[in-house]
Amino acid sequence: MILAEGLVRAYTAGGRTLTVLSGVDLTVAAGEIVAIVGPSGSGKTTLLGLLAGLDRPTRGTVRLDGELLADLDQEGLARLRAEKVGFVFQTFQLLPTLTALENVMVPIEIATDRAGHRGDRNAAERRARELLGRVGLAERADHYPSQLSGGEQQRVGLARAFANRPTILLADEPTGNLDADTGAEVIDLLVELNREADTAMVLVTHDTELAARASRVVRLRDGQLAGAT
Amino acid sequence: MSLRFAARMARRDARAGSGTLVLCGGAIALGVAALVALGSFRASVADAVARQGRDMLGADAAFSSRHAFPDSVRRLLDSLSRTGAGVSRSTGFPSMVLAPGSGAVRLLEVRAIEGGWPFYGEVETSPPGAWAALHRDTAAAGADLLPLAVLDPEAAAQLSASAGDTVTVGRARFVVAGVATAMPDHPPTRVFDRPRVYIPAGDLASTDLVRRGSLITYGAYLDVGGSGAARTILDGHRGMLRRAGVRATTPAREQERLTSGVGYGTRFLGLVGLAALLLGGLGVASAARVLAATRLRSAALLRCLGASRGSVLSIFLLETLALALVASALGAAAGIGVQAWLPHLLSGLLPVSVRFGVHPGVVAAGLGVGVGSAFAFALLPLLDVRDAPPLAALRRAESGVDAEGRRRWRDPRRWGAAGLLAAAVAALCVWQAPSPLTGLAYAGGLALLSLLLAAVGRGLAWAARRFLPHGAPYALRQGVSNLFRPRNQTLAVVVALGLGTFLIGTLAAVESSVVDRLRLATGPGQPDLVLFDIQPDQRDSVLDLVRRGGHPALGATPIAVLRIASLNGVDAAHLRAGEGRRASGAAPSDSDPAAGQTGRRPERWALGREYRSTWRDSLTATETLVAGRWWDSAWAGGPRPGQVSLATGIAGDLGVGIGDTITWEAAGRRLTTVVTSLRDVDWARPALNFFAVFQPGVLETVPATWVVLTRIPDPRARAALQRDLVERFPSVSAVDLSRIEAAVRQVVGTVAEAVRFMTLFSVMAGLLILVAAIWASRRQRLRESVLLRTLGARAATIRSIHLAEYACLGGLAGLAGTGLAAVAGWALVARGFGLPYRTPVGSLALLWLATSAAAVLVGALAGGKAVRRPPLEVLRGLEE
Repeated sequence: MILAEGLVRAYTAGGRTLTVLSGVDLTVAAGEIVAIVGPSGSGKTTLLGLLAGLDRPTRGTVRLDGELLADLDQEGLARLRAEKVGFVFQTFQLLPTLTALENVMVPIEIATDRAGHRGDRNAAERRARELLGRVGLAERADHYPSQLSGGEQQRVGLARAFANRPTILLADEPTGNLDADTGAEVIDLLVELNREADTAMVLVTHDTELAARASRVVRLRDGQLAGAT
Repeated sequence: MSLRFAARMARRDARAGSGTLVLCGGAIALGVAALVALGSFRASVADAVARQGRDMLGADAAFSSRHAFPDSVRRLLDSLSRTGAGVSRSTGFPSMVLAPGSGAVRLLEVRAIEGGWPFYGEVETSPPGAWAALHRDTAAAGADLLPLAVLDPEAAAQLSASAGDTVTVGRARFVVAGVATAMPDHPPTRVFDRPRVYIPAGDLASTDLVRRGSLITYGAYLDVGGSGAARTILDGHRGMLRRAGVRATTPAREQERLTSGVGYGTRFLGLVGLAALLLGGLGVASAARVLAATRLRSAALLRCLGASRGSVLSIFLLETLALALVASALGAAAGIGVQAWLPHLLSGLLPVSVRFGVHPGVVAAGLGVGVGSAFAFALLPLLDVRDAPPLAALRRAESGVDAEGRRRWRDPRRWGAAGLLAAAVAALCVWQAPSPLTGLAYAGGLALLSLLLAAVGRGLAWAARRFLPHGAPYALRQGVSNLFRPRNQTLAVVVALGLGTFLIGTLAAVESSVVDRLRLATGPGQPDLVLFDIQPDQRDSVLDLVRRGGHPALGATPIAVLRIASLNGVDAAHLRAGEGRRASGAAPSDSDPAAGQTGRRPERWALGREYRSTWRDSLTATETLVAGRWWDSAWAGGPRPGQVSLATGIAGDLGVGIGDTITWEAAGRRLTTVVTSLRDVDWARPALNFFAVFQPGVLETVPATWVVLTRIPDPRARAALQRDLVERFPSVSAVDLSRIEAAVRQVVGTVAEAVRFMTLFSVMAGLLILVAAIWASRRQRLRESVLLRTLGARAATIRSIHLAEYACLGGLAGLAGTGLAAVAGWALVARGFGLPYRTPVGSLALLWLATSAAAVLVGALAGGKAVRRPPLEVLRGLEE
């Protein structure tokens, strides 16, 4: 499902080159959960950005569901994300001006818009409500992010990530901004939803409890793979 | 990409509301209101003019001439009459009219009309039937009955006369039959129109005023069965009428003349109103920048979730445009209401009675302009959200999101958006201006002004950072530091406030100089009564009458009426045809004798006009010799014709210079002169100024009339002299300059009031943008203020910080605006109008204080929340 080969990412600033990732290979199959762990500055988020097509590698290639990202322009990458990729963020990244329900509907609406047809708005809303119910927030559908707690916001984020039935899910420190109990609830939900959807999932985390729930753990140190378990 | 998603997201985002955008939308609404008001008013005037149609002349066509119609024109009128067309003739001239009952005496326009005019429309009189009675045969009615006259309402008011009273015109007395309340060919009273008195044509001779040298206008009205036939007749005889010096007009031409005059004036006012819209546009650009900055993370997330760049841009663009549409609709509604106010504002300057009207085309244009300008101004700053990097969604909340700034200025889309903005502003100015050149000059001036004010804003921020003394009190340091801290609004506030101040200041500077000039022109020592049309045999008696009343005679000036027969020996008729060729593009040849010393070909109007000229041996106070010598005794230019001095302007239009010869024609005689000097003439001063002044000894044998100037400060004594004059010399007329001054004052005052009214829109727009700028940074300011309060700062300290910041902003914006206004005032008054300029220091200082006070007041109101409410409550509010 995900095939990354020889990924290098270097930045040049002030005449100096900083290599954040150097020669990383990674393969993730459908239904597999891969946790990327490592200390701050080891290149975890950079790797996630490259896998999502949010950034271009200096060298190396990424294939998502068979599509070579290097062959796609920015609009092509955006289309691929809309159709096949779901995201969960550490800081939830809900749109503050939208209700919980509308936030969950956004990926469906983007995909519909891209497909160039009106889409069934009722179906989108049904799907969003169903997911909000699945994460236990059916009653909070019309609340704005500022009216929700951190755990609730992340549960809305989970519902949004699965809204479009993605084949690949990328999660960046999904429990990083939550207390232990809330984090545990979110982990349970994430794993459960992933199992139901049979999604290939890559998650970046410091959370050992979360990493322990992964099929495979990949360690990064100084931009290189330091081992896998 | 479809717009449905963008529209849905825009609607959702708008729920959160951008206060800044709403306030700037208010500025757009003000601009649209100004344009819709003026556009509707212009359309209403055009409607009113069109509604009057043929009634405007009361005929299908009209002829007029300053000379009795020559045989060719008389033959044409006779032949038309024989074929069944209606032909009505008129004779008009200015004359003193006395109302013995009230003792009032005024210079009025006397009109004698014979025939069936008006052929279209009605003359309405009070009491009814007075117009018909005027045309009764007075001889048949009885020799002992006085002939009748009809006055227009202004004449009746000035003479304090009404139906049944007697008026004296020349040597004849008339009984006022009534007052004409509606009269074709005579629009509602305007400031510079002479009020009219209508008398029967059969009684014209009894006035004894129609004589050589009188300022008589001969006219004819035609009823030929419609505008098509009139056009055919005029087209068929155009050459003959031109040769005869007859001006021909039709209702259509009069309509065009009137509507274009009003259109020209309102378009100038429109430029003042346009400043409000452009200020609103600047405000929208500033608000869009704030919107883009606050929504950049949302935009990055949407891009991360797969939304296209176009979709993301469309969301915020649609949100801005929807708000602009609502604002424009409100502005258009307000503009329709304001339109009703304009006729009152411009009373006395309008050629027709204007009815209130809603004009869908004008409203649609207003909406289009409002939304279009918002689009043009918002596009460039909103491109930031289009370029929001999706990777930013993965970054932590505390790290900033920036558009791809490094590539920003290499992006052709940004250059395209900047080009679109420049083109839109230029197009808007050209569309609204009286002429494309004025529009472009206005757009350029406005752009330069904005750049200068922006430079002042940037300079202020730089100076605040560079020169802020470390030892200054804490509140002052904090307040001044706000001028350059991140997300500061220094630039937006200085430009918005500065532009508003500039507009008011420029108006004050121009108005005060013009009014000063009027005072000077009619001040002590200057004549205030002009007696004219004095026959040579009356001159000494009139002077005697003036002196016997104890009044000074400030000079007696002869005036002869001449036309140009030839220039440098080439016949004027030939030259006029040649000027036509030049106009069609042919270049004059080097050997062309008509091209005088200047090499220029003469203008047709300058060749054909009548010259009222004088002779004297010295220059007057309003003249400056700029070339040649004044009555050069050593002139050696061939045979010795008489010498003439020309005003520089007319010399240029005639294409002549020193040494060129001009042959004049007066009363059938020809006089050849040589141009020996050129004069600059200050035409702005109401003195006796002339295009051509002759050397003494050249014109004396030509029939002339005389003008006598006097100064009688006491209005009653002035009126008494005029009464004596009318009784003893009925053909002599008098112009009371104090009345002209009052009329000019009224016009200047009315125009200034109208401009001030339109300026008000810009000032309100500027204040809204000031409030919007403060609103944009309110969260940051509140957070800072509350933090300082939490740390123990006194409320007075917080207030002092705000005071220091806004006093700096308002003070400098006001200073820049008033300073630039002083320069613009000088440019307009001294360079544009050619008048002496005096900077109205007092008014500008007051304006500067008002601007500073407004900024401080708005700043204090904005900062009040931080000191009135408990810190925790404010912080919670900010988090929500």
